[in-house]
Amino acid sequence: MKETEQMQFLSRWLSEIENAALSSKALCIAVFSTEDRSLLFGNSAFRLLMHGTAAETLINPAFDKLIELPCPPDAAEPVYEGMLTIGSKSHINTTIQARVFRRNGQMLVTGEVDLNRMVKQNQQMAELNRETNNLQRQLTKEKILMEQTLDDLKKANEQLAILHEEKNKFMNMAAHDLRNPISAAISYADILINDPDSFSRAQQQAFLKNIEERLQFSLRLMTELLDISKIEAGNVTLKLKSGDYVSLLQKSVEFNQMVARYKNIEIRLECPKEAWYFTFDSNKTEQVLNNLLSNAIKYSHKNSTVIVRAIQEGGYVRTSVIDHGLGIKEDEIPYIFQPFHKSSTRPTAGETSTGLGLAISRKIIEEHGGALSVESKDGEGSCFSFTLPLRDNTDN
Amino acid sequence: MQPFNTNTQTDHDHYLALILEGNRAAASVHIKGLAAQGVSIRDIYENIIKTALYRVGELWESNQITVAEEHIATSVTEGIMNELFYDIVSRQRQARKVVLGCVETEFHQVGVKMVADIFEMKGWDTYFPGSNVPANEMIRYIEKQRPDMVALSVSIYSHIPLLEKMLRLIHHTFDLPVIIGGQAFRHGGKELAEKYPRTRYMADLKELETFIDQYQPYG
Repeated sequence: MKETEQMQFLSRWLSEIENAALSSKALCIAVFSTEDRSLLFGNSAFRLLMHGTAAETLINPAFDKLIELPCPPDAAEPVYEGMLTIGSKSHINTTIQARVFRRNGQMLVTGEVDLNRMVKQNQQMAELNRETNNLQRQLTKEKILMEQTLDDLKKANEQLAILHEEKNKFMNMAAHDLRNPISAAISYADILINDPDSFSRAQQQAFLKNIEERLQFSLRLMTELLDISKIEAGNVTLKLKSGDYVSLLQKSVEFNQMVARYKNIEIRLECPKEAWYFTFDSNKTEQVLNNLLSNAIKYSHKNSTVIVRAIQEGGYVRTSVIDHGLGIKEDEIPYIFQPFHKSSTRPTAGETSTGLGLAISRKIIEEHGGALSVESKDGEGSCFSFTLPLRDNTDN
Repeated sequence: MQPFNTNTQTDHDHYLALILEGNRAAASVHIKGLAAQGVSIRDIYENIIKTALYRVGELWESNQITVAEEHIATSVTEGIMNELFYDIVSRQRQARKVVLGCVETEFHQVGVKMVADIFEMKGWDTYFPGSNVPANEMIRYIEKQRPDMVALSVSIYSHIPLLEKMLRLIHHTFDLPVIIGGQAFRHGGKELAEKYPRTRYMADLKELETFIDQYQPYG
């Protein structure tokens, strides 16, 4: 239908179209006086967007600009066609797609919202909203994670404080145990230096022996302190090598038999007769055996027997050192492997102890992947037992 | 279809009135009040929020509200769910993961987020790539996250074939249990759970909770 035909056709519906236009909530219609800037007519859609005076409500282009625009030759053509922002600069305003006409001292503004643009903007806002919501959830989750991490950190700090305290206690005990024998040795030395003639040769020899024993003890203690410090720092690397365990057992028994002879104690070895090869750290394991045997001898009576037994248990070798000596009090057993723990039971021949041997032995065995444990009865004896994994023959 | 009546007193009607107004603050107070009274999150979601949002959908379908009003109601609800989220997430984690998703062309994500929240309450880690994720991108996302389970939500009945397409792809690519659910199933589609291996239909959040509590990994 041509435009003129359309107009003729619609003229039958002019009244209805007029009413629809005037009552439309989407189509803005306003008529201004160009002389006194007053609003002569504004439909409800326009009045909804107004803010302030009618002329002030046209923000861009402003009222003054619109009344200055040149009129086109054809009066039916608009003086302006395009985007017009209505509202208030300091409040919400709206942009409409407008056509502005001017004649006979009046200005007509018609306009509507650009639906394409509105739909697109709605979609964008909906998408932004969804993203914001998802981001909010993510941030909440991360906040929870951070709180949990802080909580873990707090617990770790508390644990560190406890360990620090234990370390200080350890240092105090070590210093105390070192100072005493050295002080005693110095006292004996002072006597010998300042007043040697007051004592017989035999007495002087006794003093010198005492000095030597105390210094030997101090040296042993310092060596073990260094050992335990290295183990705690993770600086000990086991030198795992395939070796004959039976040979090692025999060597350790022979060495300790020499000491045991003074108390007429027999050390009996019960193990396979043939060679038994597997992978372990020979030096460190010997250190453990010597420590356990040394303790067994110290806490055994004269004329008794200490048994060393080695058997296979599944994928492990279990070695036990059994004595029938003084045993350990039940309430002391849980602390026996702690550094500087000294049993209330005294060795049968007055032998000395650094209090570190069992702590070191346990660390060595645990480094191997085994375990060291004790069963003991006060007054009846003890069985110290450790396991070593039966590793394949591999040389490091 | 019953017209919306602002004079009804039930909790979900009150909530419905508030979200249609876009009154987020009052809606938040209302929901948090219910939670403080001891109403469980599951019951708030199932009986208040889900009921209200289904009603929003019906109002839109019957041309009583605009699509913009529907979006506002949904957006307010999502904001309130986010406010509850901090207290929902369990601090005891299960070291289990679930990837959740909507099918392609679906933008409704409130339902799938409710499901995600139930998983989080049970200590699972949830991963949601957003709404309207194409099937092949969903596969890539699952590959990346390596979950123990997948959960898929469908709101619109005509999208059931898209769900089936995603199910086929997931089961072809992975050996994972999949749970399905959503508003769409009010009109049909539950037979998909029988058609595909290791696929279960969850009728509501109560069934989902029970399922999670009793869940044992395959094999």
